[in-house]
Amino acid sequence: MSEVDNSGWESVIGLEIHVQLATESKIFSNAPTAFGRPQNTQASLVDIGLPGVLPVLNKKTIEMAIKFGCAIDADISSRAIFARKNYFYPDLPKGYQISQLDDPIVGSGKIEIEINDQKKLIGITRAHLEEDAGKSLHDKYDNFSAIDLNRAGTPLLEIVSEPDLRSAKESVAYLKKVHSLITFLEISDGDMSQGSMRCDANVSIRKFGESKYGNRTEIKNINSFKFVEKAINHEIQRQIDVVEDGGRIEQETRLYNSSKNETRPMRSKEHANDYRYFPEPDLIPLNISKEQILEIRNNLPELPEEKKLRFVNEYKISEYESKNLNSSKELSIFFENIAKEVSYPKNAAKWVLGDLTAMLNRYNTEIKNSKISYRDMINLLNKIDDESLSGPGAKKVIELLWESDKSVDEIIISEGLDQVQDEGDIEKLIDTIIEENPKQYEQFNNGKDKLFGFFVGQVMKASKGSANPKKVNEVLKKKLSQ
Amino acid sequence: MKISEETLNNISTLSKIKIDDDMKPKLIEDLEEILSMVHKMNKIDTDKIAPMSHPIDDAQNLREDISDKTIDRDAFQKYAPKTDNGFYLTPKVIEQND
Repeated sequence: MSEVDNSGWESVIGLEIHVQLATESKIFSNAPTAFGRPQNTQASLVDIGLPGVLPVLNKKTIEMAIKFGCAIDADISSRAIFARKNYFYPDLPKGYQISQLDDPIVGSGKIEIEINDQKKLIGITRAHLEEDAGKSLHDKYDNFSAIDLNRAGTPLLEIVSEPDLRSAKESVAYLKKVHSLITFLEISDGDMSQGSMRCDANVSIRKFGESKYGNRTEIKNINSFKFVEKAINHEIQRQIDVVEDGGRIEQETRLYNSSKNETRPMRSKEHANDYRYFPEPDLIPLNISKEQILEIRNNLPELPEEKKLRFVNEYKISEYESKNLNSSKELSIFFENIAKEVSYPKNAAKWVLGDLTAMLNRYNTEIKNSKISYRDMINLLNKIDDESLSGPGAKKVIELLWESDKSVDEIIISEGLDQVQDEGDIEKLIDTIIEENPKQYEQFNNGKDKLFGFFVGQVMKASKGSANPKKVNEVLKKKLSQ
Repeated sequence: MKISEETLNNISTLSKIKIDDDMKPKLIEDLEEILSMVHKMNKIDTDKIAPMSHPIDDAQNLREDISDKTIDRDAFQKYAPKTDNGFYLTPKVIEQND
């Protein structure tokens, strides 16, 4: 299914985004947070929930949460309180998750998104700190569930939006915006494939013009930008079908299955959502001073919106280019490293967003894993600039930079891509072509101007694309008019 | 304030505490007594009083973000009823059928 036919229905969506904070140690223990280590080697006494242990809050998580709050212009609580959220599951050994209910660290704020060139403000209800649970593996053993607690206690910032989103597309735009914010703020690596950013969507529908909300369902654990759009579109359509068939939407939690593109209810008991929150007795309130907030606010790094405008002004690139270059912090840094060193930054934007991005897409990877460095790109652009490398030649270099271990200069030599600049050489080439094509030469002299293109093509072909086309044109004009 | 057997069963399920049938009447009586006291407290006007989450008038100390990489998994796993290949094993629990 590609697009949802809303036919009179409006969808109302709110997202809960869990962001793993990029700390070295866990939120309440000093175990490391590294990803992909052998099972249970990153889980301390606190994380495995042994009796008698006490949580001690990691200072950095507070700073990161405040950073996020400042970036979305939110109220920061002067006194934050932690709470226990109680439920039983094997990957939660304590039997409760330490989270926040009342007095979350970040209160209401807002995030601006752009959809079809229209700006729209999305309200943020709150953002609070909590600990992640471990992982349960149900397929490893026939009669047991295997538990890995490495992830238990990893700090999470849960960002809850108002139900301000009206389509799957808006939801994706919002998610991307949050992604760029957290990576620019350097509070998370935002890597969705490793679960650093996960998203639950609350979806309901109502007739256009209706002010009351319909019953909503919660779709759990959507873990890529692509699936967010598909899962939400699917759920909107499912709800419309149910209601149009005279049914009722049950308030429930549903899981999205990306291989089948469907959501289905979680097999949970009716009282599963009674979490019996109460203040965490092991952690007394946390005071946050105005001075601390002010200091963090004054030291915020350049945010995506500011950087986007600066790029447009400083490097004379289009807003569209700037937006794309600022889709991730790494890409914006990569571009700026090049733009500062070349004569035409506009060209840098064109090549980075064009052929380089095409290579990233072809190998399904991100700029941080690029096999082409910004120094390669500077070298390449300077050669295009002084016309020693042609456009098609540069395309070839980019491909081979990725696919071989050779340098830009090595590739140019081994592929013979160095543009022939010398007028004498080009003249010799042209003389040969004229000699080989006496008929066309004659027709051209008899006024068949169109044949000029034929000669350019022949010369380029004979030089295997290495002749500088501008020079070829110049010399050819001179020669043919003789 | 009355407590039904249904409510008691629900609490028992949530807390994973098994309650024998013959204990139920006595427990319901106890819980109702506790609730009647809560009910009494609810009558006090607390509109102008900020809720107190903790009895200690103090703020917490924070930890620097430094990790300790000397986690002795084997020592911890000695306490677990069943482990294999570094995993903790529990009776099979499946919440989703995917």
